[in-house]
Amino acid sequence: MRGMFIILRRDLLLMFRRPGEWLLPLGFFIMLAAIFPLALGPEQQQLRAVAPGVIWTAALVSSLLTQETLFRVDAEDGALEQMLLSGNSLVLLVLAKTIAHWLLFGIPLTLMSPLLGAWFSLEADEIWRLMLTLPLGAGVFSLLSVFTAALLAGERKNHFLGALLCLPLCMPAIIFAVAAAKGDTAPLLLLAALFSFSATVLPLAAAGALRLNMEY
Amino acid sequence: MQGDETALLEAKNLSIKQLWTEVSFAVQAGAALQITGANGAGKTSLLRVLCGLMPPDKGAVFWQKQNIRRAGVDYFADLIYVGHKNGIKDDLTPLENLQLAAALHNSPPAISPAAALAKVGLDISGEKWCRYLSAGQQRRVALARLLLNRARLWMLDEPLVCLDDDGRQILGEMVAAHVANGGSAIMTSHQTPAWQVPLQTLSLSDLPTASGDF
Repeated sequence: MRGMFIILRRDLLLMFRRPGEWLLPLGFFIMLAAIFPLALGPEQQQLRAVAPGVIWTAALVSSLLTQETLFRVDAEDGALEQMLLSGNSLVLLVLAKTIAHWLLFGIPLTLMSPLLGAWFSLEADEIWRLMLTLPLGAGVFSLLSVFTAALLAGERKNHFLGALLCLPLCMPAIIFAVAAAKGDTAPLLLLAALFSFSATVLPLAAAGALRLNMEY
Repeated sequence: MQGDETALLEAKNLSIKQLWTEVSFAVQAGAALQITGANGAGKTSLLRVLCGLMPPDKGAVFWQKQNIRRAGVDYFADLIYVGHKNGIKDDLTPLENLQLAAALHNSPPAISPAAALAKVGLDISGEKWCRYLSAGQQRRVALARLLLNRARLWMLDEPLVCLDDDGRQILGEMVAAHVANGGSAIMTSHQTPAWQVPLQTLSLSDLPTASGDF
């Protein structure tokens, strides 16, 4: 467990020193979502109807921008080798990466969503429901991003392949999240179930993939 | 010397396809081994196999009579590996990097990160990130990791690369002190350094003689 907190603290410190890496995807998220009202026209009823879907799609696309550097930098500078040789459990290290990703992507996303809600002229309770689904769904995205990044840790140029692998895996999360943001309780519970399942299985799978990738 | 009772690390019939076959040797406590070989002879691969980062196609590595696949955490706690890649983060200061390395390693600390930095001759006030250091200075930060924890086995992949004469001298003294304390070191290198350390050599270029005794 100690190793996990050390890596988590290290990753947060590194991100604090390289703010571009996590701020740019967030900026991209805002820009992408903000374009839709301009493209679709200012009709309020229509905007309110599409808002959850649009915001969630923007969240998904911008999450793809964040995954490429997750393990690549560590693999290139040798930090990954040192982690493998440190004797700490790889699963906990992967979990640390996931938590760092969630703290710097999922949480800011949630905090920025009221802004977009106002842009799409959502009511207060609609914004509230959106804010409830975002941390959960973004958690699934974080887990999947770390998993695909671990699968491709040995590759040099994996940007598009990673996105291509990750997108279909994100589909269940998108379906439940958008339905939950529209106000139903059942999809919200399903999203929570999906999150719990991913949180149990994906770190194990990611750790396995990472170990295989280091054995070249 | 197979089946040697006092061997710290023992390699038995290691083979990797298309690189080398039947590499066997034993490293005693207090011995230093230099692995030589032409470019592409597989020196780094051999070190990675010895570390357990890469499984050999055939054969096994034993740490104190126990297969390293099974020894796992016990082995890693007694091993410090300075690879071809330095394993230090560009955006951290040398001190932060060493603090991190010391905290991650599963063995008792030996000297403080600041003292380790002073020992490798890096006298930088902690504020500068490693990104702004020269390649040789970064190499020294990586080598300072060796001093942080009490590990008996050092694995060094081309440790002399980027180091100036002074740096090589310091590394030589570090290895000499480590070996004198009963530790062991395995390093790959093209040149034979002018150190006061009795180095055994294993040449991967002419294997028939290399698979013998040490």
